[in-house]
Amino acid sequence: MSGIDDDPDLLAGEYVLGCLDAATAAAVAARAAREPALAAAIRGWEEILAPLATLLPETAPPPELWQRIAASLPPPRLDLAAGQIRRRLRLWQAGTAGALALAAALAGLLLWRTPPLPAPTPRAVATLTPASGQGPVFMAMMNGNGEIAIASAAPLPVAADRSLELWELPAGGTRPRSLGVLPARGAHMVRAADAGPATQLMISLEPRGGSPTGQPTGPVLYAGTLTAVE
Amino acid sequence: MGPLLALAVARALPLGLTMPFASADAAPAAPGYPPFDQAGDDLAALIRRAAQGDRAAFRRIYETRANRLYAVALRITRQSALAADAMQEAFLQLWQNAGQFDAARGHAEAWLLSLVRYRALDLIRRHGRETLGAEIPEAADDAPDPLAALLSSSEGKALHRCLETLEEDRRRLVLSAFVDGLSHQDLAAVTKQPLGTIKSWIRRALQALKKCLEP
Repeated sequence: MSGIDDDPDLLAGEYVLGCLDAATAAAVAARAAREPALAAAIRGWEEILAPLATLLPETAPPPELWQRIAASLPPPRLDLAAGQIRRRLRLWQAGTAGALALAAALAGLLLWRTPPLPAPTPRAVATLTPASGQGPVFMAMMNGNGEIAIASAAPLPVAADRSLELWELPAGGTRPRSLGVLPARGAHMVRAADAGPATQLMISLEPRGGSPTGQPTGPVLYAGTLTAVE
Repeated sequence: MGPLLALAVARALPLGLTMPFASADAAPAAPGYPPFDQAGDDLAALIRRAAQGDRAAFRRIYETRANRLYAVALRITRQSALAADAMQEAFLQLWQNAGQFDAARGHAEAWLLSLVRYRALDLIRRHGRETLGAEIPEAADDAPDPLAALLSSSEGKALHRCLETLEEDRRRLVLSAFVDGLSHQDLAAVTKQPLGTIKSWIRRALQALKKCLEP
């Protein structure tokens, strides 16, 4: 049967009009996520009907609404060019001046108390600061063999179905390369393929076990740049 | 070794930089929102910048579109608290999903409007509406042409022309559903028509609109 009752274009129109009940609207939204044709029909109706919004006189929202929105924003997702990442890293780093003392303390801690420290001498170090500006930092050190030891200053709560994944982005690179999933606590050793001074290290929140795509899919929570130790 | 490392770490942190985000997070200047289509305010371009984490662009979207979008949310929810919730959820969604917007496949203003409308519709479906009047509210019923505002854009003009071809009561159903967010059940209640009749009228109105708008 292909009567008016099950015409997907009319269903899309009803969905966009807003006259469907909650269950039907939710079902249409779920179908549209699987059916590109239905999604396209919905977009078509959205465009057709959008001018109706101009029938209402503009109304200023409560003045505090912008603050509420701005305060609720999580760190942006990572699909950035390297230059943008660098720019943002500088901002993050600038925002975490208070982390300096902690980073220095952690450096000492890593050096003297963590067994799998790259030996004998660190060639580069990085402080990975939280994008949110709050919370513990990560400290990373790389030795001359390209091995990187990384640890957080405090255990991080991560949901049971999520993992933290470490990424390297060599200077001039545009695609981060995975250095694997970080353990929930303690220091961790990884071997970087071509990390060196100026390589950015990032930690993103991924599905448990790591990104399914080979690229970060979740928000970048921590980032820092390896700086040569002279 | 400890002091040496501390020194290296200190060098890695450019402490002298200020935070440009701080000013972008402040409240927008109160009155006098600039007009829509100023140079640099192209919504698709602003969305692309927001997708890359540009908070200033994101804020610009809010500054230039909030009054229109809030009016839409308020009309659907009838409550300022729910309208504000709808706006907050929609703008959060915009920030998180800006990268999914594809200008080649859709019109940015319609996309953004839809984010707000669907959030507002979700909220009233979940919370119910406190006031559902006995009659269908009309935007400007006394005006000679309550749809005159549509004539300010070419898309609006075409829609205006096609709405004019609908019978008066069918046109009202379409407007009440879209602008007021009334459901089939709401519309049946306020027009005292059977639910099946309302559904059928709306489908026929949609069909007629689509046919009229087809190139």
